[in-house]
Amino acid sequence: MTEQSSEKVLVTLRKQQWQVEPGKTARQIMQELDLNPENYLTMINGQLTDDSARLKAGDRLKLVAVISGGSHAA
Amino acid sequence: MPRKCRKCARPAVINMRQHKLALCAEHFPEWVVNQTERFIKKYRMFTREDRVLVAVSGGKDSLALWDVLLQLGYQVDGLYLGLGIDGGLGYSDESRAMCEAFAAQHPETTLHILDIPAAYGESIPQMAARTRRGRGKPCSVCGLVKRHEMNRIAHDLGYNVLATGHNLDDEVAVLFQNTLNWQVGYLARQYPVLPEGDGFARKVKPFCRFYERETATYAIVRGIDYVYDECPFAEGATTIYYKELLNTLEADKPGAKLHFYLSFLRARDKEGLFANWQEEKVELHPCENCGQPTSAPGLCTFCRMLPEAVRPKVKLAHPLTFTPVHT
Repeated sequence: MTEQSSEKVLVTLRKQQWQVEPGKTARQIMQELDLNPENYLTMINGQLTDDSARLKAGDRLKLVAVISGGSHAA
Repeated sequence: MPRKCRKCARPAVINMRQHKLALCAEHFPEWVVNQTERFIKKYRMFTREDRVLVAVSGGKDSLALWDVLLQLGYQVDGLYLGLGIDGGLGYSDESRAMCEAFAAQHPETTLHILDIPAAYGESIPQMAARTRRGRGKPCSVCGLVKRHEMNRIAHDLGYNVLATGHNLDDEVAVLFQNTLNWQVGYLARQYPVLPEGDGFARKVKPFCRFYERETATYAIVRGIDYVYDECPFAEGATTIYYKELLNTLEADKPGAKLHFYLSFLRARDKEGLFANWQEEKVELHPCENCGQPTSAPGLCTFCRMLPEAVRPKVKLAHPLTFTPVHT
């Protein structure tokens, strides 16, 4: 796991992590990481939130993938 | 600041751009429940007199659906089929644990479980490897087993409706695929309800108008634990590719997926898209082994796939009352 800089935002998607500059919305961060915001939900510091929320230094942004393969009975 | 809830001005947990509607953790689940009831009535899926069996996989869609139907007061129970898929993740074990945990929190409902390897001596990947179906992937065997066993169990346990958690993204991905290939027969049959008859239970998709991100949000907000990992065999699946493609379109044109699906239903229902389409009458016969309807005399595909020694295990508890169609 990456040690988080207190001046950055830590972004987590499954086992991947990125440190990004604060001051952007979750949607902007996803777009900068070349991720389609339609494919993810956003949790900031453990709270589910709409992707227009702006992130501050030290925040943790978790991206939750929502696409499944269409099989509905495992 | 994130967007505010349309109803109470608290922070929104989701913004549904296709509806221009942002809602908070309190009002979003209420909206999902009310909309589900509306879809059930609009498409005449079932009533409170029907006995509904929800096929649950441990994923967000099916557990959320079970939760919503319970809140709405329908006679609903769950069915979990253990497929014996591990994939290095203990996938089926985790899926089952999620379903059992949900059922344990809802004593008013019952979870029926059929473990396929325990019942028939082989997991789905083993069946696929033995029969060499599906070009190295067990997905076609999985679909065959699920369709057969869900219908058999619904019949044996007295449920007349089978509900699945298919969401709008699932429906639109299939619609897109069938349109690309002009699969007219499949297109004509795609609908939120498939009527019962000829030995088949009615099949319904009450979540067919919710985006996948909405069912995931509902599950998280309601505190429903679900399996985040995808089935290990789903990697590289065409459905996922189409969903990503359609979400690229959705990001630029909010509402594109919903519009595609609703326009299709309108063209089908109101504009007579398939008015001249005549489905080929298939002659149905009871399978010699299990008794379920099959298109060719003798054994159905499922029973043919099973080793002879285990075939007696799939006989129906009591015979189906369907009338074979003869052309």
